Amino acid sequence: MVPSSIPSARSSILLATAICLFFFQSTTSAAQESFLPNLEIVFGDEQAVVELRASDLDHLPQQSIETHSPYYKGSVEFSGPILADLLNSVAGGDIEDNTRISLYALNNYFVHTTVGELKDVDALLATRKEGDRLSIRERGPYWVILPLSEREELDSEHYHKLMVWQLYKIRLGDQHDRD
Amino acid sequence: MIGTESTLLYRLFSHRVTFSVFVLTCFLILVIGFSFYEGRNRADISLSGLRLASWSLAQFRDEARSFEREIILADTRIAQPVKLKIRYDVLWSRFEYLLTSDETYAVRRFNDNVAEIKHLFTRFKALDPIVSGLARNGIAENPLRQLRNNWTPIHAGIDQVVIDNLIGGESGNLTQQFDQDLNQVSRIRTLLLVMLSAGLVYFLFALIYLKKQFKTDPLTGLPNRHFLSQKRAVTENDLYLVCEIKSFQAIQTDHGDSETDGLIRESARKLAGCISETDTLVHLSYGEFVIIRRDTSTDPARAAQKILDRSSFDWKTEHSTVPIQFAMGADPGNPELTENRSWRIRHTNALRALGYSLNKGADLTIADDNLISEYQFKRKVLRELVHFFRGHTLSDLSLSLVYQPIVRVDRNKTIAGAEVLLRCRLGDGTSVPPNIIVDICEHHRLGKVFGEWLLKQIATEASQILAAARFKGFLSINLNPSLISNELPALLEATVFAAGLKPENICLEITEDNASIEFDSTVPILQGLKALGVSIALDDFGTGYSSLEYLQKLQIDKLKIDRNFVNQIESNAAREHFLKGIIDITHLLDVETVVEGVENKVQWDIVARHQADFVQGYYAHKPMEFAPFLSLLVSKLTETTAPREIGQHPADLLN
Repeated sequence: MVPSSIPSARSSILLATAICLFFFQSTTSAAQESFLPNLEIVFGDEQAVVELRASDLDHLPQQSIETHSPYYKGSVEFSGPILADLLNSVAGGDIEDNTRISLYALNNYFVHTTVGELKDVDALLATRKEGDRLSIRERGPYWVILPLSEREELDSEHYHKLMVWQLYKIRLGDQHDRD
Repeated sequence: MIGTESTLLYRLFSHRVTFSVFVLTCFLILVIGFSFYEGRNRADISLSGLRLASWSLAQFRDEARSFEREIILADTRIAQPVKLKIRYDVLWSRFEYLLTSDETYAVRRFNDNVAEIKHLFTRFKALDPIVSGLARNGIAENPLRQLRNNWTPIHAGIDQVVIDNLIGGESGNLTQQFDQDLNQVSRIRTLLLVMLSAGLVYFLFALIYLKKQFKTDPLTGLPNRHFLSQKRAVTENDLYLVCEIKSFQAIQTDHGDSETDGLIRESARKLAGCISETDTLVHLSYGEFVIIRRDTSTDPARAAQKILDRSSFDWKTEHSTVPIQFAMGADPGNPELTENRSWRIRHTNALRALGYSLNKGADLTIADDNLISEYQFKRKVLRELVHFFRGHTLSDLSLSLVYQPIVRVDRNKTIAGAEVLLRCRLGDGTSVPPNIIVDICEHHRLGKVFGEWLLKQIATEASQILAAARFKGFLSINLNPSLISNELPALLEATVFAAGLKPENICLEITEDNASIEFDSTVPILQGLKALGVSIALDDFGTGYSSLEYLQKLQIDKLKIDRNFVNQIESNAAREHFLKGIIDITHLLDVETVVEGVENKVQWDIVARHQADFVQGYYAHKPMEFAPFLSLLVSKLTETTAPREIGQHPADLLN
């Protein structure tokens, strides 16, 4: 069973790859970034894999969220692209809400959800904390941040589990059974 | 009446037991409160908190292993220094997560995890330069060995922390305290259930006890007023008796409260012994007992008398023995009634009968229709009297004066004076005897008002007598007890004297009963009146506790011999001797006699023969209203001034 979203995703792979190439050409890697793993975006059939470096993400429209969380004291400002925007730009068009998505962390944590839910919760793919690039020690390189302070209903375990830190891989499409 | 069950109940709710229950309850509340307080300290750790803590510990171990694996791989061909660094950082962030995140609070709450983890973290941080160096510069043997040597104990420490928390070490695992709390809560729950059940049972007993107490008099243990209020407590088939210790107030005054309490308890026992099991004895108010007698096969009077006969006893106190007798009033039921009357009606009737007993010094009175209607009649008269004296125009009662002439015992029956009598009629025409009016007035503090009214009324009418008839005789006025006071001279002054009567026109009649009430205070008042020139007559001589002493001490001027001495005197020689004796003695004492109740010529002649001074009776004149009396006086006046015509006056015709 292949969801209807996949063909459209597949058809836009070329475009995505083109964008990536553009990104690769235009970025210069900083010294500390060499330790940061790239963000892999895998499409369902694993035939298409897009790898993005942290600096690549800076080219997408940046948003910031200032929020508290169970993971640190006080309120902290995070910035980075909206996760849905990133996915759309990589897929080269709007991804349908019911498309399955899995987020994987360096520490072997993962979570399965849908693109729609991540859109609903205004998930931000944070690359920076208080303006500084997130290190792995600070749960970078990518941290899915939800606006918990702004939207109190998100401050529950059900949504906390979506706040994947040390994110390094995103898988799109109905491929969960293989994990 | 006091059964073992009540005793048990009584003990169950004695001060000691109720206080113990109170203390126990307080203790329980404290224990439960304390345990909840204790639990509250741990309440911040939820089951999901424990789950997250377990998860984070599992991750801790995993991440340590991943780092370990990279170290192992470091000197192989597939070594990836960058990955070593990544694993190191991942583990670093885990340390921080364990030490700071809200989600790992439970880990920090238990054992000495914080210190242990901090200690491991410090040592772990020290590896940073080595790891960074390896990552930056590639794998070198020395730093790698150093890393391995330093890492191995840290790794062991991490494993130890995880195992201690999940499986349990010296200080127990994560969930141990939680389990203990759960056990405690379940024990408390059981305890609560048991205590609540016990409390419920106690509460039920309390209800029964209260219900019983509600209907029980604490002094005697007998049923009380509330018992009587119950439905069918008193039916028309029952005889309702009220009894009271005779002279109870005097006894109470003599012996004081606590001894009297004992008397009441003993009376209760005694009376309880005099009734059958089906009967009920009620202690209604202090010293007032009610007996509901269910057996109506015997005549009420006999049944009540039987109880009375057996109930007298000698009450032995510390210093004396007091014979105790009861007085009783009874209200027999009326089985013909379709509905039971309220106990209050029965009680009122019985109480009236008791009042009658006490007044008459009798032991027992049965409330019959006469007694009840007499009470009701008196109540009506009283109500109307109050209206009358308050000047209500709608009073259903009218008081007026009538005059009965008192004549000299001579051929002409010369009118020497008249006794002012009271006439009272109700709206329906019934006349009320004057003595009842006086009684009621005296009993209900109307005596003074009544006396004043009487004197004012006399004053009003006397002024006419003086004007029209040039009256020179005396008016005999009955003094009701309330009038005999120091205020009487002033009152006379303000009324009859002000109207023009001279003191010699006034004769005040007192009865032996009045005089005997307060002999000591009466004598000076009478002396004061005599000093004014008023004469004093002793009324109804021979009916009360007559004593010749009165004649002397009271210094009376006239003695009114009661009609009983004259009644049928013509056929009773002994009476005649008696009358003669009295008249002789009074003459010796210089007291004039007025013989009452002379109704025929034979009697008149006897009285005349023994030289009585005055006669008041139908043979001379009947009592008459003011107008006829006035015209009688006027006619006598013309008689004395005009030539006398024999047979002019009806009384003369009888001569």
